[in-house]
Amino acid sequence: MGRLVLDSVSKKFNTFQALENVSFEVADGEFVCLLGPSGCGKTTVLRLAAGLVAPNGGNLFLDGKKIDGVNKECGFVFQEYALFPWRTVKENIEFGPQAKGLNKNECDRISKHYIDLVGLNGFENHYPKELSGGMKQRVGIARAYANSPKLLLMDEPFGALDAQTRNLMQGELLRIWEKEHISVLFVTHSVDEAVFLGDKVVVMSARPGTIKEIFDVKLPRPRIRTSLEANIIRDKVLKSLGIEIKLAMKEK
Amino acid sequence: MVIDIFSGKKIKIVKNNKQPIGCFHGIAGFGKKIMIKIPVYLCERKYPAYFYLFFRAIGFIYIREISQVKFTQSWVAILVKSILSPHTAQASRKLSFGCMHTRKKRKPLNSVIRIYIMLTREIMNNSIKILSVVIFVIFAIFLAGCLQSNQSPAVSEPINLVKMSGQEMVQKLGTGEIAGFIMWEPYPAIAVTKGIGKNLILSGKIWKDHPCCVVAYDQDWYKSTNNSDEILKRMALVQLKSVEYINNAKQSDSKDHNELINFTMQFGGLTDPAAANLSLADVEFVYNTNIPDTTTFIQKVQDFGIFVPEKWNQSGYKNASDYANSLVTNKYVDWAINNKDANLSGISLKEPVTIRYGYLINDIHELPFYVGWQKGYYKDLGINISIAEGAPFQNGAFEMQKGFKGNTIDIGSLGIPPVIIHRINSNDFSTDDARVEVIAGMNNEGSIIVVASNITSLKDLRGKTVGYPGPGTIQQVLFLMAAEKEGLRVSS
Amino acid sequence: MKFDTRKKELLINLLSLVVFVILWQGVLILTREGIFNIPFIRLRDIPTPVETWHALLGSLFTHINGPNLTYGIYNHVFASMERVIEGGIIAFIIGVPVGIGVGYSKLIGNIFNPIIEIIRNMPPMAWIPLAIFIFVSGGSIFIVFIGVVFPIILNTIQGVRSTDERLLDAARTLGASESMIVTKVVIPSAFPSIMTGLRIGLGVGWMAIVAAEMVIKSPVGLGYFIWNMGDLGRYAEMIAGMIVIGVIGYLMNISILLLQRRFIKWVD
Repeated sequence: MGRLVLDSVSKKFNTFQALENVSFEVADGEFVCLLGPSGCGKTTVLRLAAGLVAPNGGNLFLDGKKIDGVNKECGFVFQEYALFPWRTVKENIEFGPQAKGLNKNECDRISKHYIDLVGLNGFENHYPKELSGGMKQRVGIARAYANSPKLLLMDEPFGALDAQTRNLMQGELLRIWEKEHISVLFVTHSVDEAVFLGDKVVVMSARPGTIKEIFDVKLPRPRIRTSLEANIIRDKVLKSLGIEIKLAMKEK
Repeated sequence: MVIDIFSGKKIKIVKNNKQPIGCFHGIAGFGKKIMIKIPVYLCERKYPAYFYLFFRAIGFIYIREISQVKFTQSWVAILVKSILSPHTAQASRKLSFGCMHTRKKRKPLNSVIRIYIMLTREIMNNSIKILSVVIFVIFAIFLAGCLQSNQSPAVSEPINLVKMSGQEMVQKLGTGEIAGFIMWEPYPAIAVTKGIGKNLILSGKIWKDHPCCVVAYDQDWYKSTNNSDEILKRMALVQLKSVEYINNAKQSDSKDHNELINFTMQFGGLTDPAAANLSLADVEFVYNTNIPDTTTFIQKVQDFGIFVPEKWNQSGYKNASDYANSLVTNKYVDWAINNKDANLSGISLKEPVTIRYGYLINDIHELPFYVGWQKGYYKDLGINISIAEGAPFQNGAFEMQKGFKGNTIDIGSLGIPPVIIHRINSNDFSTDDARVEVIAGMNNEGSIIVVASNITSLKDLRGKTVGYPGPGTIQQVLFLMAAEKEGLRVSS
Repeated sequence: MKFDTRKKELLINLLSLVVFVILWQGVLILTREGIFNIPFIRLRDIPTPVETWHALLGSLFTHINGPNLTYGIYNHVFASMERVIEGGIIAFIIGVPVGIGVGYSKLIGNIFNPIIEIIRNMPPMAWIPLAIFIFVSGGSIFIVFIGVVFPIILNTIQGVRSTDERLLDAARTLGASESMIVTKVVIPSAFPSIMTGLRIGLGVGWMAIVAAEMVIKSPVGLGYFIWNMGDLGRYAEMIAGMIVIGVIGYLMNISILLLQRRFIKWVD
């Protein structure tokens, strides 16, 4: 359930090669963080996995089936929240169930469950513009979850938040994830975040993006940010990433 | 059996010719119920004061406007009447005050001043809410108006006069856009000879020998010209001579007949001699004016409410006869009659003068002017006619306002009703710039109500569109007189 | 009374109107006394505010003197508003789907764009001569329709095109079908623009109907009323009518604005 396989995936946009020969795997129930310098194509990988774009070469498989067209079994969480501003929190979360054609009672039940799960009780009838950044992202997560996806795709979801909220939300995400365990592919810029959250950290090279290195993070949960083991892994990742960042800057 | 909203008792309906029974009455009750419930509902939501205002406004409008035009007893009408009835307003007012009284826990509001102070304070504090109520009121009025206009045609449906040019009238009667028109010759003749319409009523039938077009001079010109009296005497003489010529040449065996037909076609913009003949037959050319008939006209204009009241008061005339005597003078015509056999060059002016002359477009009534001009009568008497700026005018109202009032005409011919009307309505009494005096007649009668073939009487024109040359013209006054005889209403 | 900023603004708004009216009265009084004059303009005949007010009150309701029935401004307002609302409803029903189609689908957009661009630059008044010939009743509703429909179409297109891409992506990943995307994402997102289009369109339609009524012969309508009063030389009624036209246009505008504010609470 929720096993994502990328097999020699490449993607070209009009004039430039965004991805070249990307292969890695997200195992069932695994939390994988995708790291890389700016412009290396991390978001493109996510969009390929969601089925929003199609690859030029290679294939993506979800649970053995080829991903072709928009994949309804993935939940997508955006950096800019992408909440529907004319819908309340509850209605936003209900969008997926409604798209599936479930009746009102079912939708109610699902949305209530997830509002409770992300800790937004009491805010069901608020509009997105009345919420803080952290709350909005909770809605985003709840909305993605409400569709009962097998795979959660998250595109730097905490990038727009301040440092304190960010740390808080990382904890919240893990808490939610522990309750409802699905595969997660998490794109981020931050090494700290990747090491704190992921079971695996995949480092991408600068453009054209390929997989540079994959690090296993075999630390017990709940994670301690400043433990020795965490620091060692972080150090390795940083080194690997640092080279790529310099390369990316030279290109600019 | 119906429950009386106000007392809660059951009442038996007695059948009455005026009041429909059964479901209509139920609908009236429904209407009342709505209007009672609304203020209670809103009172609970803190809007009581505004509903006092609302009902005053509705009551006012009801009394002034809706009671003017009678409703039929359609269910729509009953509903609206019940909503707007003063009883309902009173009941709702009482309810809303009761509501306010209990809410505010003050002394009962028994003085009007208290109410208005409270209203003002509420208005100051709640402008947005006020605005929404105003908009609501406007839409309510709008709705009432829409309901009103959905009645089936009733006795009171007016005939709609719409201003248009003579050519438009002929054209639109042909396509069926209008059901008829009232216009001066030659347009009725054109329509008849083309087979588009038929004459329904000749203006002579409406009022026999009624005065129509006249010759008038501008007071400002009169004051600034030395020998104006002499000029005017000769203008009257030309008029007399032209009318004599026309009356002789009208006979088909007269030697001047063809020349007259040519003049008529040129002046009237006609291409068909048959139409020319027909239009000549319908017009009675004269050269004198008649003060009693003028008085009658003025009285009619007053009865129809065409005078602007402030202007009439400013004019200082006591009554119609007073006005008529001051407006019309026969002294120039009298001189002309005495000198009618004289040789024209013999009594010509010593020094020729130029007169800016104004007249109406394609109007056979003013043929004498054209005859006098073409046959050189004016010239022989030492008067050069120069066509005034803006002439020929589309109707008498224009000639009065743009020509006489605008000081571009010295002497002109036009219908006497425009003179009567605009001499008061358009006049700036501090400068008297529209002051004209009538010195001679042009014609009597000569307008016809022409209708489509399926119309048989004036009543058939109810609710339909009829063309006319414009407000303040003789055609309008004549049409109103015809309508008055049959008890019809006309809108313009 | 406390003077907070909003009340101050309201006060200044009111004061400016009052000052204008006083100036108007003053200039005219001076002109009529002969002290003040502008060449080529007959200032004397322009009515004063007082006269205009009396004219407004006097012509508000229908007068009946014997057979002579003169419609009041009240009736003319209804007639004109009826036409505007009917034309507006038709324009809305036709304009919004066209706008959504053109904005959303590139193919439909390319097909209809040239026609829309050419026709929208024709002012509604240019259609009057044609409308008089084609339509039996003179086509005043058609003129309103032309006036209202193009702002609606253009604003709808813009609203649809400016839908946030990410919202569309989010809807797709949540499993929405194409039709659901259009109805539940594109249309709500474009709704403020559509309302703005309606507001602007009604403004244009209102002005168009007044102009059309002056040409198309019909016995009731504000345009006809003004023209008629001008013919009669009753300038005070004429200006009163113009003011009524302006005020009603203003009221239509803010009533839609208020509705927008009340129902579109989610716009930042």
